[in-house]
Amino acid sequence: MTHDEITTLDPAGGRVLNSTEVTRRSALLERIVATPPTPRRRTRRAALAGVGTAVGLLVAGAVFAPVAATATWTLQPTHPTEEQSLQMGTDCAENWDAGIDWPAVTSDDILLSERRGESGLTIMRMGATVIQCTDIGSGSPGWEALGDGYSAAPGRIMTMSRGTSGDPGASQYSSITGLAGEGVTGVDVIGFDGVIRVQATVESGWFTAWWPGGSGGDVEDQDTVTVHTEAGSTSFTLDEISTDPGGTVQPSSPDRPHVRVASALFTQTVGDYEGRWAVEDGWVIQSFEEGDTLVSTGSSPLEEVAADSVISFGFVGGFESEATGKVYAQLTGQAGPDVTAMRVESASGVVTDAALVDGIWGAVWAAGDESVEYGAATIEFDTVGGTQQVSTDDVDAIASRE
Amino acid sequence: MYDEAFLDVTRFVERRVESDAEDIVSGVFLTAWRRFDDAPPDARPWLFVIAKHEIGNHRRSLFRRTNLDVRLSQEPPPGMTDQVSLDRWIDLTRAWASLTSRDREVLALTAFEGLGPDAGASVLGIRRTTFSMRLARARKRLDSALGNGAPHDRPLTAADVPTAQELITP
Repeated sequence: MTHDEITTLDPAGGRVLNSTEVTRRSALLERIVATPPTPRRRTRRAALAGVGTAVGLLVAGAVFAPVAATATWTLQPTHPTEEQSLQMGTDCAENWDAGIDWPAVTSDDILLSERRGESGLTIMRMGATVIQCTDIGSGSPGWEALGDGYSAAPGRIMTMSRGTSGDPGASQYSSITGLAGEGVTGVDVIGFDGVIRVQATVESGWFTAWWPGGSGGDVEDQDTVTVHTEAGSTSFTLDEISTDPGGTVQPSSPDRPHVRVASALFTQTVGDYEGRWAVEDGWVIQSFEEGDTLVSTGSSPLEEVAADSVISFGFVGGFESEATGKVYAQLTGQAGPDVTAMRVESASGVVTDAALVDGIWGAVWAAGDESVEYGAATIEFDTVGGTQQVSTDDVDAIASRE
Repeated sequence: MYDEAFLDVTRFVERRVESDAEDIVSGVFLTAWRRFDDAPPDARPWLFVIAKHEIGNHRRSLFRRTNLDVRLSQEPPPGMTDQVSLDRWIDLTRAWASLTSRDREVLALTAFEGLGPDAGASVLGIRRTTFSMRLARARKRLDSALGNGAPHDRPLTAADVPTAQELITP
């Protein structure tokens, strides 16, 4: 499949403007410049659990409502009836991805649902993905994929998404969503003025809160969050409970709940980037950190591997450091007992000696050409019988499981 | 900027809506004018983001509850006349149709809009590496669909949406 072949599908590939359209283009410009440019009020949406987060259809997340919907907003949420909750979940699923025949939504899929006046918010699990749908009275909820694979420490919360959506005006709202650790009974968002902006809903290990607002309701860095437990209440700044867009735990978060491979079977380092691998309870677990900052974790169940063969867990993935701008790549898998050494050649041609210990192998490297780096790679491995090469396409254990 | 971008935005919109493209394009440039101070040096991705919002607004006004998706050319390219090429093109359209809207979007931004990883990522509001990984995955699925039939006769999995896990085992 080539790039040129894909362009043959372009419905507007040969599109040019005809003379009428050129005239209209000029007329439009005249109309536009006749209106004064309006200073833009701030509209932002910070998706904080980033690599794990897809702001789904930013469009959908940013378009709502009729004034009446936000006008009926309440500081305290109410819990919908089961019937309402199921309907909200069904609407959410339909908007999540058209064209996919999902099984009917059940109450087991819904992690959290709340209503504030005419508006509803749902957090639910769709397959292996957690999504949040916010319907500010439009009947067509915008969705956002939330990072998964994280957990909040007992009595703590972790923000997975926060920000302001929508154009300034009655349809704009701000929100904060994240994980609530064991024992968390309530969460209040406190504005910089000390006033409670909103009381969150806490359910199934998640918390969420939203409130109407343009500039006055924006999530500001000086806002704080008060977390309630039976033992008492504790306030945190937003930075203290946030992950950054790379899924990075801020160094200021002392009780980081991510699972760092503490006792590594082996490690591999490139520059400031280190991969750590271990085996626990039948799983290969991995963590990657840049400097002292954990940037990602992952796991995959151990597979049966023939003595003279190798498997990969997926294909080449990577990490882009916001701090340094450096881009890294990584790959992990298993090898049979006859395999003595391994190398990974990425699609951009970067060759890396993989670390191989007890049948587990892993490699990290500085990414080459990013446009091709992430994807299939060639694995070269040595056995007493000689050297072989395979593509991750042929030995991808995750693809096989699917 | 206006003259250069007008056709690009028109194409972007027409790739995603069947009608009313002219109204949407007008809205894009009106919004862009209001936010002119925010325009980056490379305005195309920025305009495309505005266009996505305009399309979304438009869809909602029509009570359409569908996600943004990329349309498919209904005709083979002019000049494609030999049967082998036409058969291949038909296979390709079927493979394209079997993808998720997200796969189509990332492929279209690259192949149709001609955006690189940085610009494409900014249009989707995701990181460059995530865009690259999503693109690699979409290409793989398209290849798979061409060779092995539609691979998406299955529910979405974590592999369809980047997760933290994707960093390690995409």
